[in-house]
Amino acid sequence: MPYIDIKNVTYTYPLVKEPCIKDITVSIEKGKFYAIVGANGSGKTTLCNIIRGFIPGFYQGEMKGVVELEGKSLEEYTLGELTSKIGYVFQNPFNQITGARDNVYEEIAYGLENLGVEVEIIRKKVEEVMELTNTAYLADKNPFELSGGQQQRVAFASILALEPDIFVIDEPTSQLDPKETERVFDIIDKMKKMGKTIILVEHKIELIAEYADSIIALEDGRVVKCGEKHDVLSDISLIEKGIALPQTVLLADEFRRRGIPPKEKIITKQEMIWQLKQIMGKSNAPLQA
Amino acid sequence: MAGAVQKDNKIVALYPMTKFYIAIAFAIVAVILPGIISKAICFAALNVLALASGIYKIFAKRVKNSVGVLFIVLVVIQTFFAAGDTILFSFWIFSAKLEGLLFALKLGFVLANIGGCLIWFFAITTEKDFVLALEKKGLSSKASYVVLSTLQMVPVLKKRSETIMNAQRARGVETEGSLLVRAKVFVPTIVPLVLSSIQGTEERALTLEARGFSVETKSTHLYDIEPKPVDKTVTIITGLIFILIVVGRIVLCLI
Repeated sequence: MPYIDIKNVTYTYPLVKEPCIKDITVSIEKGKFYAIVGANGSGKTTLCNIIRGFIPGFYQGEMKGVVELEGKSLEEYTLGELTSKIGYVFQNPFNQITGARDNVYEEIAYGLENLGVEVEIIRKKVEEVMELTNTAYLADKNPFELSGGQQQRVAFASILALEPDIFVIDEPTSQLDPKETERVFDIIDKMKKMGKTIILVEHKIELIAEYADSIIALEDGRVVKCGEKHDVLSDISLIEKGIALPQTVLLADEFRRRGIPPKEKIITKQEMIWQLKQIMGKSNAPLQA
Repeated sequence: MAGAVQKDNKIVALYPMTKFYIAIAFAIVAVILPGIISKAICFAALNVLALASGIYKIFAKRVKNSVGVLFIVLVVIQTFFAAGDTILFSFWIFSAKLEGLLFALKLGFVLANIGGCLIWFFAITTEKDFVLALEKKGLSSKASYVVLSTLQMVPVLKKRSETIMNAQRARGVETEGSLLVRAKVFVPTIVPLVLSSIQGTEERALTLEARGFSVETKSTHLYDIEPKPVDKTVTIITGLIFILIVVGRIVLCLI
């Protein structure tokens, strides 16, 4: 049984005629890292909102089909259950600061307070996630006075503290510099190693190629390709659908055109280096994961 | 609350609701007491309270800048423009009248007492403590969020408006000069500020949802404050003095 089962979902926003999501059917397995890719306006954020249950609840509009979590429709879950099960990190770091608390420590604890968790447990969890997200040194600072990258890490910490099994993360690095992007992906990698199910929307395709397990490619509200990352990202035809592919895939395609077919589906730099060494006869060692 | 406040001061350390009751009782007493002298005595007592709370400098500065200005304007207008028969002195075409002066002093001391009570209370109580105390008294968590987030947002919006102002200046919009020039820049500053704030509302609402804001469970408080036995004593004494003054005033009216 899939962990999250999206069955024939079509969704239309209020006051709009054309559906934004068109008959999407996707199964998500527990503990895997999924990346949703697609051009702007292809429905990535909307799909995230559907998975989290913000659609149709928060946005209204018309939704057909069903989303099931562990075999139970999302509509059957209470707000508290959904908060504990599915964490959501948004694109804009500033808007993820609730404004309810005047220091980072209490900001991270805010969700746990709302869920009525005992104070001692809150303290323990907050300190754990601060360690994990490297935010302990910001504990006494006002969240509004942090940089975008620091705010994003606080947002991750706030959601991590709730210990959800699933993380829906919508373009978390779009407003961050390369250093902060690296830090955010480091957190995501730690979450993956903790066995969390991750659904990430991201345009930085090289990072997706490196970290994700599976890819859901969208075009105009429809899934155009879904599956293991090598199968999806090595499909050069996705470029025509407005989906960026890693530079290594383009390079491998160029090799193919010049009569040097790569032995494997190559999507990461590491794989390309390995492949080049193979071609040049410098290494017979198997590719290290 | 101002940074210079001594948290170990016994009055400052009282529970927010205790301080709130004192402020409210003080303001009501100042309103119901008759005559200018009794109201002036109340104001003097308020100054003593501010001094005892260790915030006299902050208190005096804020009273001077807010109620003080109002007090002077009131005295000038009422003394020279209110109707009256007893002329104190004349100046050019204006005549200062005793009736107007007495009315202005009475009203001025009422305003000074009410304003002073609020200034004293908020100088020694953080909004965070006050809202938490109100929440414990039954204020909904949604209402307390609105109050706290609004207070948090004020400096953020101020900073953002400065950024917008700089951006407009970089595009050649004149932002300094006469009152008319400043009035003209108001629209190109306020529109992006309001629109960007509205734009962020949806995501912030979802952020709150993702943090269990709407969950109907009794929430816990990581930061907590509780009333001490001294708060009960102070509240009872304040209540007794208040009742005594109110009853005394009613009796005086009836005699």
